[in-house]
Amino acid sequence: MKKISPFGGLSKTALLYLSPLAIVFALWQLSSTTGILPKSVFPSFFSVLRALWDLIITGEIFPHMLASFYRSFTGLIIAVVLGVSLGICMARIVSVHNFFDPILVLIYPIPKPAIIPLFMIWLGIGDFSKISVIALGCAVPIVISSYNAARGVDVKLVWSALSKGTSPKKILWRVIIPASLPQIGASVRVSLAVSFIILISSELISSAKGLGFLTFSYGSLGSEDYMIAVVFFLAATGFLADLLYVFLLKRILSWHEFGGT
Amino acid sequence: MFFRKAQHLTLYFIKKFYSVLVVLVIWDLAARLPWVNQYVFPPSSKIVIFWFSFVQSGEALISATLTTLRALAGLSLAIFAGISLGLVMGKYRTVDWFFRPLISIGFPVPKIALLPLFIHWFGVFNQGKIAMIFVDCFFPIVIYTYHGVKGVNMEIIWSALSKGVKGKRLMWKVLLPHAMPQIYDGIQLGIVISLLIAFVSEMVSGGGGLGHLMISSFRYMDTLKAFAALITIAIIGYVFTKVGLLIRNKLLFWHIEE
Repeated sequence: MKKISPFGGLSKTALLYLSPLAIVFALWQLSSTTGILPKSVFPSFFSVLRALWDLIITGEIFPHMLASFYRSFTGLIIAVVLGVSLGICMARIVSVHNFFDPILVLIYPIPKPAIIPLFMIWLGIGDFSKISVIALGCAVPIVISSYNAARGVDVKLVWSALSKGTSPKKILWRVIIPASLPQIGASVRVSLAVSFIILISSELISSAKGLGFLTFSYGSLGSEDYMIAVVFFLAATGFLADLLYVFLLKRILSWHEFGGT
Repeated sequence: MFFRKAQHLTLYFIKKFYSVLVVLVIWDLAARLPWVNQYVFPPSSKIVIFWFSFVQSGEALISATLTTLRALAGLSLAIFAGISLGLVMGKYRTVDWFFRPLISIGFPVPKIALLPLFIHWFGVFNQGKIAMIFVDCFFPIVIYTYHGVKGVNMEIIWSALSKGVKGKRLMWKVLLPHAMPQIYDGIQLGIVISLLIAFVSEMVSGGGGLGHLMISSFRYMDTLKAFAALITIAIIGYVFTKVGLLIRNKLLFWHIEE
């Protein structure tokens, strides 16, 4: 019989995992209260927590959160749809590959946030230009890895499907796409993080709403406790989005064994 | 003989990069349409011609050097600190226990959002930007080093231990060389990130450099100069990654990668 303890395996490892964080926060607060870390240099941990509580209770942060999420997720979804289809087309059709490969080589090294002012002039300063930059920045890694995934599908899988009577037209949907999904899924996870980075930098450069705007405006006002509170909130939402994505990915691709976390 | 070779080479390049030419020609023609504002959407030929004169001006050289030096300074600090922490984390379990949650939670945070804080601490010029670049490059290098050390084959460690190699010697002679390919992947990622952060922080907070040059020329509606800055940073990024790959293949000659 299995022994059931109040602190089961999961919560025990979670405690062990989270204790360094608690130690760091405690040291932070201690050095603030003893005055080693003056308030003018860095706010204390409790004041950051109070600021975070304040932002949530007054509801000030939520319109900004919604604006940011709308931008990053729309951009990411566009990037996934376009990137995966382009990557797989490039892997299957030689002329498409020959056309887009040099263009990708040229786009790849450009720091994507640098294109923001350009898109702002072409597409206006609203959401559309930000979404386009996020879509472009996220699409490039997705195209590359879905191309590699579709190219790297084991030939034996294709052969055995053909020998079992799958028609060559159905090979794409029955074999190539399912076999390359795990690698594509992993690249979308990277793009999720990339979308947050581009989102924040584009909001730093120009916007009147969004979490990046909120951090920067608090930062330039000098109220660093509120600024760090927004960054904490941002980190927490990014972490939760990543957790949710990995959970869903493992559910959907339950037949594939993912290594590590 | 030489002429023939050159002809072959040009043909090869045209065959390989014809799509870029197609895009550039369409761009150029579209920008010359009567109802297109050339300040907003300059023709590609004008951009290319302007870029050559831009490179010869001293302004470009100063800005590019500033951006490159900042990126390199932040990156080299991050390489030094990241490899040290990653190695120690891979070797000692208490260090691993303490730093792993901090690193894995800190890694996905968009740290560029903390830029105002770094400006407050270190100022608008070099130090604040280098500190920002350092923090952003640090996390991936630590993670790659850690995974590289953890991924070293146990049999190699056991055989080293059985020969009496342990402690610091094990770390320097066995763990570090074996983790090197993975560490270098982290450094390659760091190269891209360092240039990106250098450029964005210059765009946001000024203080000279290509990013500042670009955003200020956009504000004056000098689109040609902004495009020239963009092309320059892209070329610098390309050269950086290529040189990084070259150094990697020289350094890790037993583990060549295309």
